[in-house]
Amino acid sequence: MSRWPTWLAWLTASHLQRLLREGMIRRALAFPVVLVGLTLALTLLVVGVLRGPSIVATDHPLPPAQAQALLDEGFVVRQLDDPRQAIVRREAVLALSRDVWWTAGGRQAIHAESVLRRARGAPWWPAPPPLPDAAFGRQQGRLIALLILAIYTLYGVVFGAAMVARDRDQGTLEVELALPMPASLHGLSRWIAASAILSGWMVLGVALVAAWIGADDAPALVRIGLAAAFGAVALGLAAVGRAGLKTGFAVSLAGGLSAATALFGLGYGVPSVGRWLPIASLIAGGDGWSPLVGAAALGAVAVLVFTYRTARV
Amino acid sequence: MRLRAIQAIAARDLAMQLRGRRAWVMPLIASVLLVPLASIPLPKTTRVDSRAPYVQVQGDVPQALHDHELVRATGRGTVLRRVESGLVVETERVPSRLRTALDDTLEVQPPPPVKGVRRPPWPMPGRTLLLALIAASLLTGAVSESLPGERGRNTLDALLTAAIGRGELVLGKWLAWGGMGALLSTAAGGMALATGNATLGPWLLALPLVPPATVALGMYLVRHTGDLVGGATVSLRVIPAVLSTLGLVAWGLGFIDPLLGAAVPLGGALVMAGDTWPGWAPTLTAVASTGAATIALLWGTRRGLDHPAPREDRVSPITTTLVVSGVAMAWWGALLGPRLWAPAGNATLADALDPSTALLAGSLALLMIGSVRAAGPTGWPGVRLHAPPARSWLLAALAVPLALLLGLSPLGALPGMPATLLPRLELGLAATPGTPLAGLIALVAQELLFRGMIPELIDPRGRRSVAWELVSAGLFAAIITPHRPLEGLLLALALNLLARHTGSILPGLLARCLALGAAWGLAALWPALFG
Repeated sequence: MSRWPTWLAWLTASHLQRLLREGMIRRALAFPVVLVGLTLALTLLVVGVLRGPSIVATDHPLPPAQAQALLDEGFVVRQLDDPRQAIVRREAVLALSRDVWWTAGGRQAIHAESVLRRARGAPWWPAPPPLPDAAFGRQQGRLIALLILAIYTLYGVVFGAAMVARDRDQGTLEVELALPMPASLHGLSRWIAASAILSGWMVLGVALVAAWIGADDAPALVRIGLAAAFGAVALGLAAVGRAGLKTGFAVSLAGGLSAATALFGLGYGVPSVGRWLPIASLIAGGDGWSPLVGAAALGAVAVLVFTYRTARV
Repeated sequence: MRLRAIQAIAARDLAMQLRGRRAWVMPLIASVLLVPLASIPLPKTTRVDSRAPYVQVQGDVPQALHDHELVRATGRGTVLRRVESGLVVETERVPSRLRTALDDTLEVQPPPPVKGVRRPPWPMPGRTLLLALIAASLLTGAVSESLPGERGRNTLDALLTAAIGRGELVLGKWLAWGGMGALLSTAAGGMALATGNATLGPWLLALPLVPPATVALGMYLVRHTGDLVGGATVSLRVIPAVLSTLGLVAWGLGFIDPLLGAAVPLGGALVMAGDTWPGWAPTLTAVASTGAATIALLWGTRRGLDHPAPREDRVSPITTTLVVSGVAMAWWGALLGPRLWAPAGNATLADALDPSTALLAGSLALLMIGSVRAAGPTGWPGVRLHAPPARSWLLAALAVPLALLLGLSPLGALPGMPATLLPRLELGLAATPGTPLAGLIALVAQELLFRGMIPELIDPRGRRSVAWELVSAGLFAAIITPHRPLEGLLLALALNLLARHTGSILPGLLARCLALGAAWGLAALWPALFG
């Protein structure tokens, strides 16, 4: 019975561990997800919690019905000598005197005026336009998720090329190639390991955005992301050639990144074609199934190129 | 500390970095970036005069409005919507002419007129802040190469064994690049003044302070780094993040009091360099705080030269605190974070977001933290996934009722817990049917972390005393079951005991999975059996 599946599993596990052992890589992988999560959380915290309740300032006692209506809608009524100054100082959203109301605009000011007018039994009142609904949230969430996926895709090219260049410089690639196993396994295991790590973070990124904002067709987004990860690592692996970090790595990396950018461009320029291809489908959309097949094909080509171009002592 | 030695180190660093082609590349880049930024006048925003003779409206326009001279129903513009009790005007701002027309035609007793108040603009940093930022960022490469380059070339030891003190070495390198940054930013500031794009003010004192302080920060960050790539990645990633965070903090605190904002080291000077706050007091405060921070950073760098980089495989209390806080933030952030839309003003969106997706995201986040930690230098010795002895499964069966009891919540939630958060916290225990995949992933992630990683982190010596067990179980209760702490504590203690006794986390995981299945089964059968 062939032993290559066992070898492949061990090699992949070893590459996984070596990648994740480096603190710099661990931090870089977590960075996009943490950044997006923290930005969203801090924005909502500031807007929702630290902002405090909206104040309606008045220089005279309001009729009980109006005061109660404002309280019911979450406003705080505060009696001040000069309510207009409270607007200037951004302390109040609406200022009331007996003969004039002051406002600096904004949703809360419109809301307060609406509450007061309705409490007075007015025949018309203003209302702020409806807030973004779930459908709008899902649309925006998809865009944010795609940005995260695009960042990890670029990571993929760097990982694919750099893990080979690093091993060549450290001498571990030569040791690996001396092992009595098919040379193609070294490329295949690297491709699987780097793509697997990126895939995990991509899935987490999409899940977090879907949880926080919603995301249109999240499963398709995950498939598109996985295809992009596997495709990008394949591009890096194919582009690295015989480069090393000390012997000049920039040209190989630029080649891989250019290929990835070209695919992004194809997705933007010809979306009808791009939706079938890995990386391009990040821009062009689609259900993500055919890009997965494309990524597998790209991976096979990359492993072949690696075997015949790079995996030579 | 000898001035000549410091000067010699500075001159050597500059000569090494600016030799050959680099001698003109760096000044060229600085000129290309800084000269236009300092000298090109920005287009002034002008308010578009919208004094059209009428306001365009659409929707349910009352007949009386059709005849009003200030309003025209064009099918565009402000939306009017008739409801049972009146007319709703959907808009972010009611145009004054529309307000007049509506009051004229519809109101019997119009309320007092509404007048707009123009607020003073927020104190925003000017373009000179960018001059400081760019002058500082131009030096990132040189800083990341300064100390790590010496280490990489093995010349640091030679320098340190020569008759040069550590302080002189650090000061010399800081003087080279901090001085160049101060010079560049001052020149750019002068150009902005000369071209009339900035006015003379206290900001000129803060501007040249930002690059030297940034250089001190960069040197501190790479004090242990031994190679160029490591130095470049650290400084490229961390310096912009630290600068922008401190700048934002300073700007935010400035709303309370400019002096408070100016007291933020580095951030205060950065914001002040943009001529944000008036007067000398904030500038002098910023200079003092940033100067003190620069001295502290240089002192730290000097000390760092003598001490080797901390080993990543040692677990310090800070690491433990960071990991446990990270676990809590990841879990609560994913599970409860979406509810923040409600206090932020959009309760509809908060209600529409699917809690099971949040459970999946939180569980995946915990799994990623666990896997990354497991693959790190310390590994994950606390996690034992091997098959335990047969008797362990019997013990696991005994833990099932306890886990089931927790799922059924006999004691109820802690009083005072927000009602909107409770369903999501309950979901964290995976006690709700309908989310099988996310629920199972949540159980696996919780058991791997709370029975494997966290006990190992907080008790690396493996003392396993009652106090440590209580701390470990308490963390589970605080993070996963804050709404039912007693039940969470009991369950965690039982599962910890099971994991310790059997030497594997599998029996506990199986017990919770069985309890989960039983809870789902009961939830499904209960209505059929008992109505």
